[in-house]
Amino acid sequence: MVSRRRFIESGVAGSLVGAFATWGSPVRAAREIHTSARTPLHAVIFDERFADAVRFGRQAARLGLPVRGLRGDVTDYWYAELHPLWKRQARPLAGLTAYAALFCLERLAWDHGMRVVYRGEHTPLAGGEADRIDWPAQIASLIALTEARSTWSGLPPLRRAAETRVLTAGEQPLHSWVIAPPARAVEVV
Amino acid sequence: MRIPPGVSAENFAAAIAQFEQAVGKEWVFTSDEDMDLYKDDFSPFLGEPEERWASAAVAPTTVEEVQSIVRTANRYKVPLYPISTGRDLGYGGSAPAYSGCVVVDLKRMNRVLEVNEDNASCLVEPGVSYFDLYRYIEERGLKVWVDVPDPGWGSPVGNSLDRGGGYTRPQFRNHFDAHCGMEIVLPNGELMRTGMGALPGAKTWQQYKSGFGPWIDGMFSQSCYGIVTKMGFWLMPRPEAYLSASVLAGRRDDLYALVKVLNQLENGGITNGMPDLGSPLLGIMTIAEYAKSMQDLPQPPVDPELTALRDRAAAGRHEELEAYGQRKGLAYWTFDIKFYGPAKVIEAQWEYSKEQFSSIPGVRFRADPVIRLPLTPAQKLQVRWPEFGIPTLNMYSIGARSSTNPNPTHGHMWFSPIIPRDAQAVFEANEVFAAAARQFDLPVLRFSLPSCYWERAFIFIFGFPVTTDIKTNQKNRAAFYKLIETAAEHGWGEYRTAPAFQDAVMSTYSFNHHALLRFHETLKDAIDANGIMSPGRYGIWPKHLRASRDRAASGRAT
Repeated sequence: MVSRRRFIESGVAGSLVGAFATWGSPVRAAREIHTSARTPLHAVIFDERFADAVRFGRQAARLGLPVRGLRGDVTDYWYAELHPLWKRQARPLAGLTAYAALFCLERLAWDHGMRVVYRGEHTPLAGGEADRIDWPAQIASLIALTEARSTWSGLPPLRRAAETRVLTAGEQPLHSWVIAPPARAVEVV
Repeated sequence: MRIPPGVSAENFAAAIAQFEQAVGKEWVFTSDEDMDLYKDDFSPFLGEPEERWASAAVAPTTVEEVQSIVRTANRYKVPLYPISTGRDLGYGGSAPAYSGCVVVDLKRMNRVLEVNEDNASCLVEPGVSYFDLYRYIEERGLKVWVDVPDPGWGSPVGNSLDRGGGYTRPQFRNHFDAHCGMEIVLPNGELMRTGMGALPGAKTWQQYKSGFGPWIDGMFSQSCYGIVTKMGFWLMPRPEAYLSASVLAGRRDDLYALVKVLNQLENGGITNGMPDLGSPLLGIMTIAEYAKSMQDLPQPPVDPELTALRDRAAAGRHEELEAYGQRKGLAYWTFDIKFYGPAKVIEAQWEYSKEQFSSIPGVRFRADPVIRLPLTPAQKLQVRWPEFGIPTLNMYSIGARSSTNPNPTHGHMWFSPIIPRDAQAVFEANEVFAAAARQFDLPVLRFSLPSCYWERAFIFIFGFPVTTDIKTNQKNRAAFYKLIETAAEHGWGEYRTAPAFQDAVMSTYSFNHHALLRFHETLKDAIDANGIMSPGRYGIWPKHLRASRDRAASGRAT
């Protein structure tokens, strides 16, 4: 039992996924990818607070995808751009963000008939930078490739690492995701 | 497709077909994938047979469609469960209180029908979110504020009907109190308006609340008596300025005088924002301080001496902690008080408030500069938005695993008893809840402070974790039930709770052999003969389901 104040401090206000994947390893992704009819991607979101998310954003921009940065809270972006857009037309969105942004955007997307059709959770590897592939760029490239095809299916799981390390201050697991209109009656991959 | 209990497959199919006829096939949902979205994100029964589920959902866009849905439900005795946006996470979300209900999802009824700047009022449909109403006001440059809850993605209609609260002046931050007039589809499909709305052609529906005769609006909050399809609210005229100030006191027993003076000031209309209590010595931040601390930044280590002194204070040795505070310049209590109004008026109100608090020996004050409104973009980055009528989702920025929160839970359920607004009650409640936490094997807090959402009463809001582990959830539910009883034994009742606990809370409101519940049931039987409207919501069940409620209650007791 925690007080609302303590509760806020301890940060359990948002619902959290149970799986604990690793950097570059969206282990839940393969079975959670749903296919969906292709609708042009509206934007790729990245959280400017995290170097990996910034790398992801840069790669997405290099590949010609429209990119938006935010800093944790989605309110400004939601209010200024998505809320009016989605009222007119449900348009897909992809991102590499902390969980909070995904939690909010997923629920807001439900109201516009969209679902999370791909998601991965990424947590630091033991061993540090040297052991890491450039997974953020990989994900951005995969999103770009998939976006160019006719459906959102086919984002494969990335390399899985053996262990994780304790997060240091300022670190959070990052989440890669795609929100899109699902194609109903299409089997989950 | 799942079928509501007691309804034949044939009848349910016929009802679904008529729903489709009423609203269009694309707005009736029956697939498992769609129904998953109507589960409670934070269900305390996660993964257990008791987890609430909806059989279908139907999303009307007009009052006539709502009436048609209700008449169909009566025809086939299909239970309904209306939601506006279904975002009251921690209090049940969009899941029905009774599994098998068809959710009437009102999000498509999202029209702002009127905002009257001169009268500072509005009339909205249930699917209008706080963001929608805020945008409507901003786009037109109207000089009114809507008081918002935090987070602000719900709807004024839904939040006020659940009796939620916000952060500005008292008459607006009590969202149900701020309403003025309703339109309701009754359980028989008939349309009714309350207050002045009952007068055809009334010019004052959003100006005068009670109309003529018994004032029945309260019946439709936390209830199962109808579907509210329009609701009026009084808005807050945009103030000229805002002032936030703090009162700091050094001794544990100063809380008695602090609360007493605050009550006099607030009840007298001298302070008019939401007060906020904290304790630097006990390590309890104010809500505003928590909002600022949400960033996952390295925190300075707590002085081990202070930690030890806090433990000793929890055991009754306050003087040493007070002495430490004196040495280090740390207050035992901080009381943040807020003022809205013309700059010279609120500065005078703060001066007067300081005079009143000066009766407390050693009391100190600090005040932020007066903010002239509207906020500049730069000021907007510095303030806590809900205090300025701006909806935000920022609360969720703290919801993830991080270095300061390495093992977050799945969700939460709120335990929120109302206690008297005096220091004695705060100390007593802390003793009672700490003892209960030890008894029920819950984490024990050193000390907790209540919130000041409501005039005249404090509210404690404790978050019980919801996890993905069934045994842990069962243990926490059992403790939650016990805490409801423990609070009631001390005269403290819950103001709101998730469906899982609504029967238990309602059973504590038992004066004169449950006269209140029996009255609710008499009404229920009279106006909802088929028992189709939100069965079980807030512990009020139709006649044909009361036996199963009683069996469930006796199961909890054993």
